[in-house]
Amino acid sequence: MTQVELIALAYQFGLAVAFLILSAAGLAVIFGMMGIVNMAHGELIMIGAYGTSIANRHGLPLVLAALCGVLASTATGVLLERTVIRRFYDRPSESLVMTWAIGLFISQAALIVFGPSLPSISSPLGSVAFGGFSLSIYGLLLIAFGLAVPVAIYLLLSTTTFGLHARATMQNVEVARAIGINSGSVYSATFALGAGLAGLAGALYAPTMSAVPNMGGSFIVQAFVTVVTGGGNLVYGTLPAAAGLGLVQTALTAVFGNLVGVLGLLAAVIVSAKLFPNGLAHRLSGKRFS
Amino acid sequence: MDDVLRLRKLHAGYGGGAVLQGVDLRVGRAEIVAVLGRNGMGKTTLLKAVMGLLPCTGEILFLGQEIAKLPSHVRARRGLGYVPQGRGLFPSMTVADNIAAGLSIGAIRRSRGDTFKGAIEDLFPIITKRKSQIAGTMSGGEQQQVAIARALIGKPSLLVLDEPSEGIQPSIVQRISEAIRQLNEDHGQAVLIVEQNIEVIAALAQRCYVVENGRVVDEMRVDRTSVKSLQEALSV
Repeated sequence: MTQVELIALAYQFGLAVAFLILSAAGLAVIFGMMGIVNMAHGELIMIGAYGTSIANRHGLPLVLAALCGVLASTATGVLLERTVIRRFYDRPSESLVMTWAIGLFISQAALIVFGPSLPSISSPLGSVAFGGFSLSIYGLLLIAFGLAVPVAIYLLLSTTTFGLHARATMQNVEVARAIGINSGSVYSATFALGAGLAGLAGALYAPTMSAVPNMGGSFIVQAFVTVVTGGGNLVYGTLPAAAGLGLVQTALTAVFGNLVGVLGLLAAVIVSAKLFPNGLAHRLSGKRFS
Repeated sequence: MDDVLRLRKLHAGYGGGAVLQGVDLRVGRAEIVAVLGRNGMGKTTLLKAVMGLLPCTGEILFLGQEIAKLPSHVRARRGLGYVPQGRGLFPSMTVADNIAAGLSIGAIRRSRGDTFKGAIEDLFPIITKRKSQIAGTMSGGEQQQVAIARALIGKPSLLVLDEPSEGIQPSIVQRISEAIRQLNEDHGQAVLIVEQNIEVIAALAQRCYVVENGRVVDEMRVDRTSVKSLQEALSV
């Protein structure tokens, strides 16, 4: 394998890892800190993509349009948490079914309001030729975001008052309340953060795929397998899980094609679940969050 | 108004089952009050009801204001410092983060509590010497000191302690008792304590209530009560 081929493969690996991280980040935050499996995660991603697409179509530059997408999904998350989710904090099974129902409602509402698809956004920034390969600069940006998001969340949780209160609430909610931490606000902010991260994934990938009501399905499988493999910790769980799964998928795709790559990804998840039933985060750090 | 805390006809329980059945109790300013009773008589339930961790009916007057309808975190911010049974530290967080969690809430009082914060650090040097240690890796006695320091660091008007000597070696219990007594004498710290250890009660409390089947059945001044009487109260 030549140096150029290696760099191209590394680029594909970076794209795969970034996709896994960005898909899973919001899901991991909500699951890791609140114990809620948010089945509406894909629809929150869709809202981020739709918000970006619609804002861009109305003349906003892509950066501002993406911000609109993130805000739309965050606002949706706040609304859902205030009206529905908070009633199911200590009932994980019911919350799973409820968020699934919410997801169905959102995707059907998008279909009714916006139709089967939105006009696509052109991929910005162009590409650079490298040897015989062409590398998308926007792809490099996605890779950068894939690395930056876990670091940003880690810093948020380890250096801010919100992070301190979030970690305390996650470890012992009763004591957290009894020493003055408003756990309800912490949960609201955490769900909004998770929804915002889902929206960020949708906003970032809006220029790379068709915006359709069920586009969340393109993310949700990767998001779930990454969180199942890693656990609910972005740095100790999602990041290594995405790296491992991305490596398997990229290598198998390069040699055997896309179908085998996806099958290999799922096989790797099964093996990982067998070896590390509590997730990589538990193995690497002994805890779900920093 | 001389009472820090006054309970009137307090009822509380778990899942609809009543445990407390009309408790009346008061803690005066700069007073240490103990609650005695056998296991299962409602002592911990009483403290949880005061802290807002259980639904309750009746009156809870704290610094003259009714707080029975307030959520737990608001009660804490108004000046209730709580150390639950079993310490209740955040085990994966460092000592410094555990203390910071208590301190951040007391930010309003912190500006006039710097002297008090220094006193806490002097009384519990472990919170500065071992600040980077993960709290869950400490011994029971060390954890208890951190838990008490966390409750005190926000300068509460009332410290609520649930069996602070449980499972801790006698020398550490003595050190903790001495620290609480010193805070009471030097800073007028009011304390409501549930405790089974007669020596701790005799060393700290000025008054005590005896609880049986969710009711206060006796009230006595500790300095006028023999150790034998206290032991009998514990075996009511």
